[in-house]
Amino acid sequence: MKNLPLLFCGIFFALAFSFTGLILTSHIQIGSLTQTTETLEATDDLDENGMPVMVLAEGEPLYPAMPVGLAQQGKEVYISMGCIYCHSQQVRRNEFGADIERGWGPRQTVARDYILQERVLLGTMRTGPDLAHLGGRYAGDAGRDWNHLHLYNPQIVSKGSTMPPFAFLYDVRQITSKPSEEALTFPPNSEYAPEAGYEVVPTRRAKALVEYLLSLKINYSLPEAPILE
Amino acid sequence: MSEEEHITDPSVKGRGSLEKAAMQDEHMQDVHAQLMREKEEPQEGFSPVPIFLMFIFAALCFWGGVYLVEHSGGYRWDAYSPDFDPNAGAPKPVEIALFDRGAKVYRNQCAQCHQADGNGVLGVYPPLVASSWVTGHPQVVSRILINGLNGPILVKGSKYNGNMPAFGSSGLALSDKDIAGVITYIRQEWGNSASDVTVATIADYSDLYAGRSVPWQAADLKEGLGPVPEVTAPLVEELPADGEDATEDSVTSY
Amino acid sequence: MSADQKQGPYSSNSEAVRLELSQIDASIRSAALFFVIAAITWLLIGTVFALLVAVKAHQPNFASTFEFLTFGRVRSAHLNAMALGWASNIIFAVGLWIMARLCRAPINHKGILFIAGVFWNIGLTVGIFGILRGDITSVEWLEIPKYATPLLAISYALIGVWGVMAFRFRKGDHVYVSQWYILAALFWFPWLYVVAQVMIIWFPARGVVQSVTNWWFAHNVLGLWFTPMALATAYYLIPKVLGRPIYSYYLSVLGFWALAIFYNWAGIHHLIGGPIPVWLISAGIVASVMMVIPVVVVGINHHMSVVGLYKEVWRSPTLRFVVFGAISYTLVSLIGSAMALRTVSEITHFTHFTVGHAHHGVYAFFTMIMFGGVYYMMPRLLKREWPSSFLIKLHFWACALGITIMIVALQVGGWIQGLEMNNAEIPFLEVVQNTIPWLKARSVSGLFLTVGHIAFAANFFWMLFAAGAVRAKQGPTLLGSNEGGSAR
Repeated sequence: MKNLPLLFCGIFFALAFSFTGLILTSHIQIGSLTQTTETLEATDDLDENGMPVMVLAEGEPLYPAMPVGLAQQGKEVYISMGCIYCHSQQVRRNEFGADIERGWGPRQTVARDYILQERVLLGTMRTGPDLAHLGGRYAGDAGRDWNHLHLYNPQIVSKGSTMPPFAFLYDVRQITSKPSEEALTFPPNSEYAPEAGYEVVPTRRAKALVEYLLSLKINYSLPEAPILE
Repeated sequence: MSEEEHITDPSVKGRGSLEKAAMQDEHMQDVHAQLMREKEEPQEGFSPVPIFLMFIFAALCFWGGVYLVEHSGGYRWDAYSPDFDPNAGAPKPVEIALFDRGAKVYRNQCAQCHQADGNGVLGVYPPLVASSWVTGHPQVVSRILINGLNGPILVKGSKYNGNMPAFGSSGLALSDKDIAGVITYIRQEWGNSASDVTVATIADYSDLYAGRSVPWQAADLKEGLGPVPEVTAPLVEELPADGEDATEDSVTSY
Repeated sequence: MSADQKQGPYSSNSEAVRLELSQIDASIRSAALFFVIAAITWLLIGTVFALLVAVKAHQPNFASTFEFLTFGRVRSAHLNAMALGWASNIIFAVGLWIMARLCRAPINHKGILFIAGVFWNIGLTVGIFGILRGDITSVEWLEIPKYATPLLAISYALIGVWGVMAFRFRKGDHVYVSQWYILAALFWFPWLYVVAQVMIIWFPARGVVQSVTNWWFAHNVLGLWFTPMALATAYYLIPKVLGRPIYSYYLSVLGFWALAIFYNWAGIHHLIGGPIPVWLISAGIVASVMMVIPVVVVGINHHMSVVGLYKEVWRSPTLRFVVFGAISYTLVSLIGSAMALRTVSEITHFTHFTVGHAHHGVYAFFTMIMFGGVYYMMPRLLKREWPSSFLIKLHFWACALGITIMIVALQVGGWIQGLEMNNAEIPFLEVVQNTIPWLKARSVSGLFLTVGHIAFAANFFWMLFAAGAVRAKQGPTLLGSNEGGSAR
């Protein structure tokens, strides 16, 4: 090849082409999505195609909801443990894979579901199940108990799992006066239970992580992705 | 490139092995054996590109163009399916039988604890198989599902003391359809053979207990039950007063 | 000297050319040696991480009491040690050396290159410690924490500039295909890296624009950094060892430009079915399938260049590795194109199949070619022969068998996993447990690779710290019984 300007331009434009086409275009197209109500209301105004202009329904809550408090800290724990390398957080559409059939979410997730996340953790591995809708499968104290036991050692509630234990997020300590209310309740005769006189208490990081997990929910419709029920 | 420059190179200093190697550098300018046997620097031949390849590539490009046109959802931001059709109306939900819906809900929401075979985990998660709490008066199991349950409970002779989450509006907020489905499922799977529990029944119970924010205790579960709702299938006539003694025999199978 | 260059191709048959090559080799010697030593060190470190992760995948309780050894972190430490430690260091060594030779331009001010190399490896060490400490970003292929990446970027700029400088001061009219690839890769990589860092870590873009950027970057690390460098190495070494021209200049041109245009767009196939507007995904799928063009073209070009000389290929340590890598390139890319199809992706996405595919690309293709490059470069830099042909054979067989077992295990196991995962009737736990035998096979393959790497490192350091007997060895170390001949 002797035409060097052509070589340089080619090298430059090859990458510039995909950078523009993929990154800049998607940034323009979906980079400014905002929260919305579950359904939109038609107004009397018409757009250029003669269709009514749709606006947010008044007084309805906005989705996706703002993440709160402890759950946000839990996300930091999720990130620092590298959970994403075995757990995705995205639901594929009906009849493409069995995501919805498996109860991983009531509908496909779409771009708007992720707009409030400072770090998007879609993930590309499902060594473990998808977690986009974990909070729809576990909730309340029962959900907390299950997830704490499962994090402390997955074998307790999910025998045969290949998930590693995260026991280092828990303190094993001697019971002084009376047992802590936060202590994990182990099944009777569990081989993973602490010795008599000791209890397993979640650290702040464990509590935050479980709050984060329970906060993962796709329990709302979006105009572009309604829950079909 | 002078010899001195190479020897005084900072990278070589302090590295015994490299110093040793550097000792040989007086020969570096020599054309050493490795170079002597080296073949000439690479060149290119000018064989033409096989013509059939060009046809294959043209066909590929054609396919690519067609694929993009067919499966790009009109380049819209809100098109997420390759078969997106902007003119199609709202998609209609598919109706599935109550029992099948329940099977799906059970797999996704319940099997983690109560296990896929409904036997639970001894001492932690109570069994659903042949448990009169499940197969008895539909209102009992509906109460547990809608508001949750905590505290001690005796199931098939074993004691359990855990937290069952609420699946009604105060908890995981399953639809009445899903709750009716899963109750029907657990009452009829694994050899259980109690009646269907319809969506209408659950809707009534949901309204009844919507205001209740605390889970049930085992002792209260059988207090103040209404009449057994009518369904087409033959029914349990009467509930045993005691939860655990009467199980299969009190449940009419059909 | 310049007078006779203009008449014919640049030929190292002439004494003057040999002298020039000797000077170029001498000019890059210390820096290249440093990069090779660093690369091999990272290769060994990365191998230890890899073994840990492989065992953890089926024995979850193994070494699980320490937070810094949890799966997600060690796995990322492995990836970064291999991608930025082994692969990038070896690229700096072999790529710059080939560039300098083809440009016939000695590397000046090599002290700066050396220091930049030191900083690259310091930055990486800090980064790996950061990952293990818990400062991991959980952005795939960009796990290195914020505080280490600027150092990496700056030292890269100082290293990459040498390749560009060599090109700037090249002699002769002809620009060989390897030079296109190296020049392009040196230019593409920093662009990709900076954009990804800025849009994901420093000033996060909104929502899934991050994910699009992430996979545009991550796939292009493979496609626009590793792949061009490995192809450049193969394009240099095949004709060089065999003494035969590359089959067709036209195929080279077509292959290069098709890669430059299509590979860019392919990364989005990692998001098939994801929350991304469907046209972006379809564009990624079409580009991935179009990759068939450069792959077939390069495959034919390489194949026609070695056709009939298989004995030579098999006897030369360099070519045995390079040809293994080149064949793997064709295979892995065709499988990759197939995986991008929606019907296939529906099964393979999210499974161990993709892990197998990644190792097929980075190891069986890229790493094997780079091993070949080291086998060719080192005798010229050190003016010594490889001490042991047995260790080279051991290296080859352990790696070739090991990586084959790994790819087969992960792809068969991953395919089954994908089929089962798409059948909601099968409980998830059962799907997980059915992958365990395949993951155990992966651990076994890891042992093979470890043996290969130790053999390689042993042979290398033996050569480097050679005693007199090794140093005095005459004639090339070949892998056949009949000595002499012209291979290598």
